[in-house]
Amino acid sequence: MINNPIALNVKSIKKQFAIVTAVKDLSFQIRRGEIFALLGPNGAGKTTTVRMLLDFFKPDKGVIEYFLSDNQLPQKPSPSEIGYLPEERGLYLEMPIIKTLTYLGVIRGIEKKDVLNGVEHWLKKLDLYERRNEKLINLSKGNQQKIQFIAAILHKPLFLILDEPFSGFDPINQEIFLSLIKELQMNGTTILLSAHQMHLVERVADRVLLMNNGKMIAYGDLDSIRSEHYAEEKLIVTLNEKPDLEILKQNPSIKKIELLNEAQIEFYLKRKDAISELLNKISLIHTILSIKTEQISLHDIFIEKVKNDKERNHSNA
Amino acid sequence: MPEMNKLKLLYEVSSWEFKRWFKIKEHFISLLIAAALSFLIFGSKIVIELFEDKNIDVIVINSERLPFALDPKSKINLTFKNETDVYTQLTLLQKKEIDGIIFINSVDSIDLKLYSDAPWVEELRGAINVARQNIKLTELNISQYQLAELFKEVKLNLNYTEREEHKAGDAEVIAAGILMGLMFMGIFLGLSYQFIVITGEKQNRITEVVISAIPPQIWIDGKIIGIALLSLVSLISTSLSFVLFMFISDLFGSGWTIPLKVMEPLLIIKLFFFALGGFVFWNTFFSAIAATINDPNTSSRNSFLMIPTIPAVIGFLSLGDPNSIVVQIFSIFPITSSAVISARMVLTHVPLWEILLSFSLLILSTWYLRKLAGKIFATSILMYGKEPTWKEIFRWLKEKQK
Repeated sequence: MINNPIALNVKSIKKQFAIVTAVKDLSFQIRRGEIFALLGPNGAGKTTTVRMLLDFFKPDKGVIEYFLSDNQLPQKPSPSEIGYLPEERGLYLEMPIIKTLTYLGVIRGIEKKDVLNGVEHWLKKLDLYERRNEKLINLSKGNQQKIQFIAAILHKPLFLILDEPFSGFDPINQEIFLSLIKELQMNGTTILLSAHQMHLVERVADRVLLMNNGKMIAYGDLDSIRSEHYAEEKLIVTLNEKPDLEILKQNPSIKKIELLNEAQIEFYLKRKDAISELLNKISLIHTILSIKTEQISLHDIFIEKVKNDKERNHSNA
Repeated sequence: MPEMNKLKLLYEVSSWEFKRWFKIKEHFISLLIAAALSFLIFGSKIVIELFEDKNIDVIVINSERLPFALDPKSKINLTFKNETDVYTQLTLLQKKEIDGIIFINSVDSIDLKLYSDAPWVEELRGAINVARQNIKLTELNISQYQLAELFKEVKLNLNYTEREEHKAGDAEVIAAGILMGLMFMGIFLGLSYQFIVITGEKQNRITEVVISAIPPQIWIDGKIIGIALLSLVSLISTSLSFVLFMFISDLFGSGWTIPLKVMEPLLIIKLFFFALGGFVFWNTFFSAIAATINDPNTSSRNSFLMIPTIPAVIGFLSLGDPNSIVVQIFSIFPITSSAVISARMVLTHVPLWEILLSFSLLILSTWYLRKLAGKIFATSILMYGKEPTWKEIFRWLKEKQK
């Protein structure tokens, strides 16, 4: 993936609304065929970034370049090359499913017969083909989401932007959508994912960009973010008594310690190979009842990064 | 985007906006209702008359004092009796075996006894008046010819120095009024659709999906054309309902006819284009306003709905004097032109240059209004939550121009 040509190049973009700077000097690249996740808390500037990528409005500063064709020069993508699932979901509720999807496909410049083939394929795949002539309002929220998803992908876009694609889905449908996103990637679609379900994002994303207050706080593939910016491993140890955290904190391989309850401690380790050394030291002081190791999650990194960023902003202020 | 693609896209969007709301079944139902109403109103009148087809028996006492006669086809049967029969006849009247008794006291004094008010009294009154008038004419030695000469109106020949003006008859004034009414119905229909469509799309969050696929200007153009066509179809359908209503009423002898001038093909073509132009103009205006509204239930911008009442009032005032200078100006001014010039074309002769100037200005102003509306639409359509103020909209428009 790392050698794939660039599909999107964002250089130092900035967007200000009245006195609020929504996006500050943001730069990143997305490579062809990768799943790229844009993460951040509410108000981080993700939607503003997505809207600039879709040319809903221009950045005040900076450049957005697409390289979706084999042409070396940047080109504005045509509507048929872009797919978009907005966070704010909505469709023509009073219209039949098939007519709505056909219209949304045709206005992207796709031939009607190709649109109809795509509609049939996706409706069958998502078990909604029998209901194709029903009005959208008759579908459940989850099924309406599926229709919205089909509308975003039925024209086989080269570049797909999915804003909060998992919201509103139950766990089973979330799994279905994870596999669909993977399938789209396998078929060559470049995907920009903006979501807050970190545990789902980290299962599909090749690279991530963490945003807070309109600026980037972490960017890269998950492994490098884990190692460069945080800890590598999480170790959960249950002891027979309440430990003295100050003594444990003296171990140089520990990034952070959290007491989960009276006798359970969570260690964030800088290196994986520090586990045995740490356990040896603990066993000299306490009796270990159980141990569990976990990979550092994106959620942990995200929380830590946002917290650090806030602290930095406070100290600067 | 290549021009052909833009046109194809415009066709797709217009067609979608039109088909979303166009229900052919409802137009057929409205035609059927018009036909049924006309049939019921005028047909039932005939049915009622058929059921009331019984003879009226009236007794005349002292007929020799004022001899009178009725039309041979009249349903009133007159039976002449002497004063001696009065008691018997009153008994018959009480039993409702006869319908009335006329007592002729003198030429100037007549009593009519009947059990309740009845429509045939008027026919009787007319016949008695004619008989009395003839007696009086004889007494005064005046002939029928002299009487006719006395009441004859002077013949005033009108000679115009410029050209012979066409004087609109009552039927044409009514037709022009109905035409304007239909035009405003179409304008208000477009207004309500634009508000429902645009604010509904904003509330249902459809806008982002569509805007990611098509430019806002094409989207708004498609809405304007689609909904203007919808207004035009409604106008045609309602006009056909009127024609059908009149046609059926005429079959039952109502005497209501459509003025021949309104049926002239050239006039129909001119009216068609002005109606379409007017609907496009007003839909352009409404779409720009609707895009700035977040919730139509609470927005103060709903007051914009009142604006089309201005041309409506001016249009109806012009029916009085379609050739006045003020009305001529209003028939060229784009806000009022489509309605006023349409009414004038029915009522009077409108020179070709006025028609062409009026239509050109309508098209030109619609073109520029469309561009402005497109910018307002593109700026406002993605704004949810707080309704933007006009100041904010103009600031964003300025930023967009950069």
